[in-house]
Amino acid sequence: MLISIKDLHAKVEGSPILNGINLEIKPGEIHAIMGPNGSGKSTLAKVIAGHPDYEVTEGNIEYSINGALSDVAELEASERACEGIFLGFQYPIEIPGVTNITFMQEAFNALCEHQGADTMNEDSFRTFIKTKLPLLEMHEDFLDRAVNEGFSGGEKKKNEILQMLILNPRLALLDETDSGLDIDALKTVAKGVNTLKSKHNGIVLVTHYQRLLDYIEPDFVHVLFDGKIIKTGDKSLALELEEKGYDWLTEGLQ
Amino acid sequence: MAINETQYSIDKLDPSVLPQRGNESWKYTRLDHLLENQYHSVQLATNINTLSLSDENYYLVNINEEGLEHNLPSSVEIDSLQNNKFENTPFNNDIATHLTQANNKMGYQFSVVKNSSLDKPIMIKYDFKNKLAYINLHNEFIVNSGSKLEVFEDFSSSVNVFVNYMAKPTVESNANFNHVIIQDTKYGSLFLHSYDGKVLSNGTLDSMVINLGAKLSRSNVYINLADENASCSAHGLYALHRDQHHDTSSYIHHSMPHTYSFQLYKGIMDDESHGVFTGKVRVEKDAQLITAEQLNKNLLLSNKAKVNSRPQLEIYADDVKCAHGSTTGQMSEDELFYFESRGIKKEKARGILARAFAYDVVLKQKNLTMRSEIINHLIQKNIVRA
Ligand SMILES: Nc1ncnc2c1ncn2[C@@H]1O[C@H](COP(=O)(O)OP(=O)(O)O)[C@@H](O)[C@H]1O
Ligand SMILES: [Mg+2]
Repeated sequence: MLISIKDLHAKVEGSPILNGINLEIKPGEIHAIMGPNGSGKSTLAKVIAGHPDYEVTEGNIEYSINGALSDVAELEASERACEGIFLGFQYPIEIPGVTNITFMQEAFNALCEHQGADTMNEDSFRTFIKTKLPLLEMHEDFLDRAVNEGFSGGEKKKNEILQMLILNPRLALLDETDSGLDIDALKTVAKGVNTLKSKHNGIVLVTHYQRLLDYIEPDFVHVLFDGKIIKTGDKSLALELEEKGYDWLTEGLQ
Repeated sequence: MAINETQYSIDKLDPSVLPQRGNESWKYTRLDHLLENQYHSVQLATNINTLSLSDENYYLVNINEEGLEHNLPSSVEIDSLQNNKFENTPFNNDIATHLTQANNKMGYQFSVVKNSSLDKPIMIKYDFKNKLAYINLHNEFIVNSGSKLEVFEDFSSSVNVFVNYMAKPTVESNANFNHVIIQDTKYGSLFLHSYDGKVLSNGTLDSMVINLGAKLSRSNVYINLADENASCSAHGLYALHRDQHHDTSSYIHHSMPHTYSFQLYKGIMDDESHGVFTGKVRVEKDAQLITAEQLNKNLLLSNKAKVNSRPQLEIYADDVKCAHGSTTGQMSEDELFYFESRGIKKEKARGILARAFAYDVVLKQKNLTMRSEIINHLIQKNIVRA
């Protein structure tokens, strides 16, 4: 088991958002999470990543560390990241004054330090990161610009995937990485995600659209509504949702 | 402007000459503890000696209680100034300049001959060694027409001092002056600094004032764009911690048409420190087609730190481009979480963000030698990491 979430309740600024989530992910699996806006998808991803604003009130998250499942409650976000949990943000923010390459090098070296490996200087890191750029059709200029500053929506999402490939996480939580992408950018992003995919790591795709799932095939599709998973199926569920929307599932639930 | 000198002697300072409540320019800064008189007046010697030492990056000038020594080339002339007269600028009716006038009026004039430029900047290091010395000093920089000058003034001190320093640059037509003043005196010092700049036609003054040290410091920056096509940049950084207090009062005076000013002042306040910024831009009635930009940004690193920021525009011309803004805030939690979600610890993330904030100003310094000098000070002060 890679991660096991049991009866997870969480609130933010006093209001409950997650109301009993159960989810288990094994290494090698791809899970898609769908659901109407405001149902708690981003919240779930942030709670797993350890965002300090979100308070877990009941239940727990256990994550595989050194071969054993451990409760992550006591781990700060940065520690979770070093243990291989990666959050690709729905809205990646801009960080003026910090170049993309510095940001990624700091992240990469934090991981190296955590693993007791040698850190990389800027030159060797640049050489390393340059090998990842063609796959995402990104120009080297992006490395020397401030993080996400002036990036288009698609470029921001590609930049998230670039970070993911650099950090090579065991659990990637990709929050609407496909939103706002044109078809070419979508294919590029999917290629990046499929590059990460292996029998060792798990991927969670939060998405509204079936079309991403044409390129990245999920093993499970979950529907999140009002802070709970109300239905789980295989990839055909995504097609059904595309056709019928969510009403047939949510009627009478609220 | 005559002042009664006896009222300003540091031993028997008359309380009525200190900025009073109701004095808008000193609204947030009290000087009352000058009355406690812990300082003793120190008269600087007026010797000018040659320095045999040389440095590959700078021409050197050392100024301390014993006088001045230097290795400047012959294109820069130095004179000692005594009993200097002050022009009546709108800015110098102030406690700092009154103290300079009333006290030992000691200083130097640096003047660059016409149409010359130095192959490297001048580093002026002030090293005052008398504990609790009260030092009045004023220097003039005359950049004659067609010349280029770069000066880095470094006020560091290993003892607590009270320095009242006035810098008076005059940039003649078609001349360029790149001027950095860094104040990194010992915590516990008091530093008053006045800047009385004048720029003539097609001249450019780039001034940068960095305040890091002293318990209480004030930078009073006045620049008069006194002829057409004069331009200036006036940038500043103050980085404070503990209970440090810094007050920058900037006044850019567009006296003539087609003049241009650019200001970026940034403050980083930690612990219980207090930053004050007042930025006045005055555009005279006939000063059409000018550009004036002013931005003040403050970063509060603790809940107890505070800042007062006041833009003041006095615009009497109608065809002008003026922009001003002021922001104050804490480090954004979203930015910090972005770093943390990538494995970077919160403390490290804070350091990176503080550096990014400060570098915005530092990178305005185009001379790379001078820029790295500033960075070294910031690293030593732990404001940014190496
Ligand atoms: N930081 C926050 N402060 C207040 N409310 C929040 C915050 N984050 C999320 N919420 C609320 O939680 C609910 C779920 O939001 P979110 O997880 O972003 O949904 P989704 O990603 O499924 O669209 C929404 O009602 C949203 O307004
Ligand atoms: Mg969302």
